[in-house]
Amino acid sequence: MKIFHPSKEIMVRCVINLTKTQGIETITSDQVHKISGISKGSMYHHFKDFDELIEVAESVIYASVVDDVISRLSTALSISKSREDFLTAIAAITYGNQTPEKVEDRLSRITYLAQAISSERMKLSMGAEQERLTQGIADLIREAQERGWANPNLNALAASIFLQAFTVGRVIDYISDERVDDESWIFLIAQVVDRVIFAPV
Amino acid sequence: MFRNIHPTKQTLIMTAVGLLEANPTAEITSEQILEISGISKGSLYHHFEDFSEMMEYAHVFIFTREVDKSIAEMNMMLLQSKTREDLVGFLSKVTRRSQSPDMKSLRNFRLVTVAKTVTNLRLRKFLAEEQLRLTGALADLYREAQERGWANPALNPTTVAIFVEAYTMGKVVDEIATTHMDPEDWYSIVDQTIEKILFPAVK
Repeated sequence: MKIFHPSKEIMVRCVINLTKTQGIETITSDQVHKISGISKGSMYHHFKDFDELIEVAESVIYASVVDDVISRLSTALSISKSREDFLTAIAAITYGNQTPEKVEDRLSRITYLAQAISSERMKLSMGAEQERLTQGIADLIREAQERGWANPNLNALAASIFLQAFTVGRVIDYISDERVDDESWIFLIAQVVDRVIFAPV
Repeated sequence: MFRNIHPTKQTLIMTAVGLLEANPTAEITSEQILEISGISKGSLYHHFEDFSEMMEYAHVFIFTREVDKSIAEMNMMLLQSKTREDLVGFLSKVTRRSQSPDMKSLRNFRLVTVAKTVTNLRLRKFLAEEQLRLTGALADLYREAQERGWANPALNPTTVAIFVEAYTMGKVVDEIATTHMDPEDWYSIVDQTIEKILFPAVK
């Protein structure tokens, strides 16, 4: 996670906490000011306007899901003694990550991505987070390649984007109420993970 | 998508499509549409519940057009292929067209449209119908390839269709980052997925 100036951090955390009980679009600067105890002067010293604070909070929420996956992948890599161990650990992560409880996370990621496309400022803060995530996953894939546990004929960066792309892009399936069966999705993803990305040398 | 749609309605939608394509993030007003199309305000509100509904049609039109084009192209390829290898070779060409950096604005547009469905339920219902049609058409092609013994019999055709649509749209995560991958590296991972998982050679 990015390290902010303490007051900035408090305000961003305050917005993130509020999103647990209300929609982000309904949060007001008065609320943040009252709850965090940080003065408006300080707020506008750290952020150009209130929207910028909201955008930074959205980027942090956006990144937290992937941060969680990176830390689990990193643990899986460090405790695994063989490619088989590693794949078992990855299967557990895939399972946890593709289940219906993640629907809301994925929908909000899409909303934030859409904002990054339409707003230059949002693109700046999200772009930096996105870069860090993509590189984080790519580093792990590179490490697995060095151990001979991942496909040496893949570019680690492209593989990192591919993993994120089909995960984020699955929202396509959520537009309609007729959704593909989760088991068949997890089965397909497992094939791609085992035989394309982490294919043995 | 335009079957059974009145010509005036079509003209209005296509005017909006033209404006959206020229500038995807600009605010479009009903005055602009009426002026360019030469259609009266009364007529617009006869064909659409409100101005937003007309814009939703335009969004869905752009959303589906490119996928429809790819489906037609793949259908043709399936007809022309005599072997699995022919088909895989053709698909690799589709990948280079549909996943190219030139298609960036369309990918962005699709993502923005999907994001709008989170809060706009009318758009969601409308897009859901079109999305099911597209996924169904892709799944039919895959099923046909399975019957010929060229595609993986263990996979669910609808799931494969969603997977292909998902990574194509999800490529946006690269586009918002500050540095970008080499498109060739991306084509390579898609090619390998097609060859090893979606259309594997029979052992």
